[in-house]
Amino acid sequence: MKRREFIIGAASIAAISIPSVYYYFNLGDADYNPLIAEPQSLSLIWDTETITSIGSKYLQQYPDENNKQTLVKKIVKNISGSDEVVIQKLNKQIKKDFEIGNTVLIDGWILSKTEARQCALLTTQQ
Amino acid sequence: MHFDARNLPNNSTIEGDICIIGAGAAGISIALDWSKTGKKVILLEGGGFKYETQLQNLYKGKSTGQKYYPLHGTRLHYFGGTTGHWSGFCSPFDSLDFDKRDWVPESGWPITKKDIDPYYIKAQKVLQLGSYEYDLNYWQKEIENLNPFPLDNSVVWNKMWQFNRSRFGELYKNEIVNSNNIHLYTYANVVNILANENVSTINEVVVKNHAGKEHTVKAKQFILASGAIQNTRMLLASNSQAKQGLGNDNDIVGRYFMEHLEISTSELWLLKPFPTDLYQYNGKPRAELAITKEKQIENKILNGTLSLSPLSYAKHTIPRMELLQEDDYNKAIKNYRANMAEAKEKAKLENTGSITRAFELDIRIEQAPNPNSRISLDSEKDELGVPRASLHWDLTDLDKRSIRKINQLVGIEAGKANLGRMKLNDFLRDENDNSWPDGTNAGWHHMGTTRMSNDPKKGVVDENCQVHGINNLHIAGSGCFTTSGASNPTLTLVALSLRLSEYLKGKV
Repeated sequence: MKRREFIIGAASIAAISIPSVYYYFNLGDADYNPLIAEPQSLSLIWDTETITSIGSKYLQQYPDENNKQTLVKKIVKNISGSDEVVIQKLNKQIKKDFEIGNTVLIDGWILSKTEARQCALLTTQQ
Repeated sequence: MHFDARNLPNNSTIEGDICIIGAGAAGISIALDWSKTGKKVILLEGGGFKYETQLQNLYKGKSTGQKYYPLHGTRLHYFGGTTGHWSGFCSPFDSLDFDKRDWVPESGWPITKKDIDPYYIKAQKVLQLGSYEYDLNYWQKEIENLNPFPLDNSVVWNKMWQFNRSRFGELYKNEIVNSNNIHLYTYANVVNILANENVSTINEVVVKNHAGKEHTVKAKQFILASGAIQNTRMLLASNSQAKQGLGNDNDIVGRYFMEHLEISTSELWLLKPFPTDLYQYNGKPRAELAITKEKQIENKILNGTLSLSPLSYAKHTIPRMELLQEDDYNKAIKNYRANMAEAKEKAKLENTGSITRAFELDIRIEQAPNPNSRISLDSEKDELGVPRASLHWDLTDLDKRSIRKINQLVGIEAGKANLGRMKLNDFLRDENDNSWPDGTNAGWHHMGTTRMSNDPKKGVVDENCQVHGINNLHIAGSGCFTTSGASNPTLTLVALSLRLSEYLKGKV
């Protein structure tokens, strides 16, 4: 499944539409897959504005991470594979975050640290 | 039989085998249990058969500490008592509620859930509920679409509830009035309880009414069944023979006042629609999200549950603690209902997008026993000459920490299951914040002021609900609760009253 189609399919109920320009943003890293800046689950309940607002608040809370490269590295180390594989890996990591208590409270939301960083990464690209 | 105490010759003496003071859920349940026993039951009710402002005002009192409702608005002073306006939420206490928990001060009842289970079955009938079944598996076979959230059941379980707004005043008036051995006296407000010389046996109680009549009631056994605040008031005000009041040698009467904290605590946003009727309030059995015993022990928290309301509706509601502050009870209720109607209309406008999958989570949680949370007597007296009640409602850090932790646990489980994401309300976000929000509602559940303990230094009544040191004075109702549990009190207080009733049958 193509990346764009997946987003539309997964977010069919939500009102979100992440700007397409975002998908082609180049971080200067050949291995970078822009999917990692897409908080899939959160996009089902939030619009882009909310996601970036949460991202900003995350960065205020963790100013040391206010850097695209840092965020990418912290979100996921090995990002190779198809889009589906990448999404599966991220989802697995988010589930694990909740299981091991790797969570963060942003604006009252109990979030996996991975997905909060995804919001932050999107924010840095806006 | 029914007698209007206003119409009796002044200074009448009424005699019976047992005297039940108060015709609410507890008093009527006991009276019915004694029907056709051949024993003469005197059932005293301060009011008549309907709401009267003058009588309701006898329940007026003061409150300090944590903001509370006007006291006279929280109880109804006529035959049937507060069942006249209750919402009918019923669920038994959990076995853990009766246990001694090291992290909950003064916890541990002298009885276990097994001791009260047989009476829960009887209480179900009195309250006209269904069978004594509170297991989700049972109800899933009875009702379609009770699908539980896929949460880890080692952390979160579904606590079932049954509902019936049984109005005792309507349901049982004829049975009581037509009974040959139950003698109901309306407009009979107890103003004094008189004991023998060494205050070990009650000889009589004095009743008064606004018609200026005063009567005496004598019986072998007396049961105070007028609610946790009024029972306390009567014990403390009956101080002509015992300076601190009856049963109060150890200064426990009135202390440990507990409520159920009912507060909007968080929002749960589901990632996708989840078809279920399990969590909605529609009069049929439903569930609330509860924390397992093991996790309560591990986290050293109180017992509480989270219920779900559609966020599009709930966000337009005003906290009850603000809405129900009117001195005029009827006006307060009118305001409350108007707000509900307005919220429903506003919710209709928000019927698209992810908010249709969002819920407000409201906690209902026990309050930790706290001696500083108490009922005492005020210097002001009511129209019948009895000092009014004064409430000092006091919450603790354990109450707050437990609310936060329960929400955090559910929030993490919702994330783990990828069911949704949870947003904590402002007052829960800072771990060091022990303040309480304006919307700190209470359930109108008065408990603990005559708590049960077999140690007279720690409780007012023993395991049989007998007042320590007074062999024929007993207390029925939620005032006897040692801890307040996560469930609304009525089912348990009726069960406990029926247990007391059976115990007394062996004494009369």
